[in-house]
Amino acid sequence: MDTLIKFDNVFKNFGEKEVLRGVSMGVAKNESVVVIGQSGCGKSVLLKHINGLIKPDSGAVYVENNNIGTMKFKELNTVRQNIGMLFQSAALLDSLTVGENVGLALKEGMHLPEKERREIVAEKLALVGLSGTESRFPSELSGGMKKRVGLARAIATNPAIL
Amino acid sequence: MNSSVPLIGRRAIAFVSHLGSTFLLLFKAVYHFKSIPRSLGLIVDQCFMIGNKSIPLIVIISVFVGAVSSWQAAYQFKFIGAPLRYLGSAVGKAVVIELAPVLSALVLAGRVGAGIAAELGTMRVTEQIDALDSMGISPIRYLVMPRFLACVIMLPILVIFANFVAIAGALLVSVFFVDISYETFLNGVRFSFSFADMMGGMFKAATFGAIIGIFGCHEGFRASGGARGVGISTTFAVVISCVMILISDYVIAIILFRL
Repeated sequence: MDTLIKFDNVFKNFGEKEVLRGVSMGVAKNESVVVIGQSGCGKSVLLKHINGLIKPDSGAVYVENNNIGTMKFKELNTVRQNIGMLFQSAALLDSLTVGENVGLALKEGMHLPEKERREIVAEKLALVGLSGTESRFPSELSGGMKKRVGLARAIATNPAIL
Repeated sequence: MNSSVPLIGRRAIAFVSHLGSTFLLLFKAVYHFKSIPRSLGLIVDQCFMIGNKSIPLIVIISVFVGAVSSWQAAYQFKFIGAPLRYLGSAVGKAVVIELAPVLSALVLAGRVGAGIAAELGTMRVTEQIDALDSMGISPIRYLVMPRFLACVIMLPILVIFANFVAIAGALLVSVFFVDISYETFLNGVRFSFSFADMMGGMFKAATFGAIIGIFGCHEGFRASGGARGVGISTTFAVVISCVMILISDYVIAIILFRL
């Protein structure tokens, strides 16, 4: 199987605290992987290395054979558009409506026309059971609903990696 | 003494490094000017937030700036025995080249700079900026450039407005409390008005706008550690903006208004 994501001997420290120590692993295309561990053991840090939100101190992270740590910003953004990420706190932009949040990458990243964006947003919100919430703001949603909007946003661009 | 030298050195390095990262953010924001056409909506929104919503504040401070400068100038004219017909000249000049740009900028550093730092700081600590990054949307293009540009555009416009309101405030005090006619006061203003002074004031205002915008964004981006971290960043954004406004005011004054 093709390796989509590859960690090659990745080390990451935050000050004195060692978070990742020589992590090497691979994720194949169409494979589902679960990372389990105690609170604070570095699961989120590991995930944030995949889309370059955190850079390794040493070692390398490859996504579709591209070394994330050495990519130029523009190339990295192109790779990021193919990765959907749901944050622990959902991380919805609170100044935007639900519809604008879900359609943000479609507008700002892919520059799709408004009609097409609306259709995709409605489709993804229906998938997470939140049809008709496009005009509501994140502050009007419950914690669970925010998470589902975050999921709709993460899958809006049909990313290869989720 | 010996132990304080490394401490001073570390503080100096930290300060220079802080200024360096602010300038780096400034260059990145300017680099993203190429995205102005597709970010027009974001820029207009920010212009509205920064400009339109600051008008009541600008009106209040400008009326009193004009009023007090007129009263103080009349008091000093009386002290040195200068004729009051020059009151309009003195007040008009002071308002256009110094008082309106600097005082408006200092007040807006509190309203706009703090607002930007608090908003972006909250976005930073709640991972909203990470979310933008993860979607391949540059936070500099989406958040920093529109705010920076809106500050640079709106400060001069607000200062033009402040000039008129401050001179009106000065006129009211002069007519009702200093006892000179409004024709005498306005003739004085007209006599001293110079387009170059006006442009100097506008240049100052644009520079102050750039300072407020970039320090607000920079401190917001650096926020960490939750609500307390956002509070610290917001306070620092206002303090550093005010200090930089006063330093740049002096530098611009000695360059533009030579003796």
